[in-house]
Amino acid sequence: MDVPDLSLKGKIAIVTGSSKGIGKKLAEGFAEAGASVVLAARTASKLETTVSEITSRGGKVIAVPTDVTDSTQVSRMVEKALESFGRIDVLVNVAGGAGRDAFIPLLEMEEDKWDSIVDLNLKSVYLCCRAVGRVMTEQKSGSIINFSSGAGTRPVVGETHYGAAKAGVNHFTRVLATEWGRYNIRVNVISPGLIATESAQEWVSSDLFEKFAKAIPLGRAGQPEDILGAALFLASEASAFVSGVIIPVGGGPE
Amino acid sequence: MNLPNFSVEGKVTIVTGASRGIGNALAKGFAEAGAPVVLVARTVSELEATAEEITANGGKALVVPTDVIQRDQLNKMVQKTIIEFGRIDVLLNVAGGAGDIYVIPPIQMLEENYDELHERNYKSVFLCNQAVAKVMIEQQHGSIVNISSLSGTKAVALEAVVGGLKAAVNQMTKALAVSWGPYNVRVNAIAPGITLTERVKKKLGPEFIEQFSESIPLRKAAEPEDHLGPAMFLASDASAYITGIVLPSDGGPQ
Repeated sequence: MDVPDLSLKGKIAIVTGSSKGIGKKLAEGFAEAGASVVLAARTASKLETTVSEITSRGGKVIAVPTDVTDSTQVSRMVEKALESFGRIDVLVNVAGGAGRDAFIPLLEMEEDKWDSIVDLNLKSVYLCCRAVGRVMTEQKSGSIINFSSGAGTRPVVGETHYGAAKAGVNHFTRVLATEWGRYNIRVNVISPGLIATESAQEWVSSDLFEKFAKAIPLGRAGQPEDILGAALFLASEASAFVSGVIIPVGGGPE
Repeated sequence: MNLPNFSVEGKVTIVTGASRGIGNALAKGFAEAGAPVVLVARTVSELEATAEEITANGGKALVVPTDVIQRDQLNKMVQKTIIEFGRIDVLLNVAGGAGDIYVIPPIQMLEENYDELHERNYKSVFLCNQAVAKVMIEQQHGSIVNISSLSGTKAVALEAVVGGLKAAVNQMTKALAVSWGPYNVRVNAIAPGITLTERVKKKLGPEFIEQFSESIPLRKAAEPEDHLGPAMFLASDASAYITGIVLPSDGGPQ
């Protein structure tokens, strides 16, 4: 019997949102696990640090500055990945978030705020999946990991925009897993809970962050490393029969 | 960078329902991956054959014939495990199923049939969780994986009772995760789709299986070994921040 492992040796992976936080951690971890990595994020300068870190450890990596809400730029990201590596095995859609616009009561929600959050968190997933899916359906293989949030299942006051977009990502994923299973493409979701990234700690006070952490059954906030374990599982052959699932990584039930 | 540890090497693992089917495959897989395994089921001869196979491959196995609905037998099983291996790191709770009761339509089901299903698929899960968690809470660590079923979420005509019980197992899993999280004891479930064990293959026949497989997004029914990756993931430290989740292992949404 072959014992499953989390190796990504020889696999080509695109990671969006990889300039910081969870995306950066996943890009570094995937490279360490043997994957060639395509880094995508808006700010070219921030990607360069990750590129040099991965390269210095002997990993293969390219950076393609990309606004994932722009279909032309997303197509270019896929072209660059193919030019460098010839195929795409894994797509990790980490790009998203709400930053300082996370909590807006609906009566104060301007249309441009609504559009920008829904575009960044839901439309980006559609654009990236479609562009990469053109390659994966040809290859007849691939694993896509979308990022959702507990806010997509549990109502959080002030998060109609973000919560609805993330709930949309969850269901988009289940539909696409059903649609593309015949091409041997798996589509799954990781739904992180409270993770101690710089940006999470930026917009929540440390007292409040501690209070949130204590209420979690496992008694602590998560680290980006905790997300890496789930991402390696879903990207690797260890999950070859797993598709259309939502894996909450939050120290307790969602 | 240290990658998340997916290994179960050295993790003392109790497997219930280890004589056949999914439990048997998981027991062999974990042993192959270096875990000392405790084989639990009612039929001694089948357990001993499995233990011989594991030992011949250089693995460690302890046979403890146990009826998992008998509390005193479970406590003895736990004691024997501690005497032999000193601790319990993982419980894979696979025992369950419907056997021949499966083909009885709900309208014809006798009370004794109902009681048997209830004892085998729900009471046993609670008793095993409780008996093992007493040790894990003391140790301040442990990972429990309950095997649920797709029938806990998908409505299947002949599985009104078993499906209801599996849905209850899902909810019990989540609540136990909340209860035991503070002791660093994680409780998760895997929900397999139809799995081609020897018994299922005989019961369904090749024609039905082929037809059924076409309705699964990944276009194949599970082999028992397909659940090994998910079980190792939830048992290992790669999922250290995951508790209270139900992970489908079914080839896509159904």
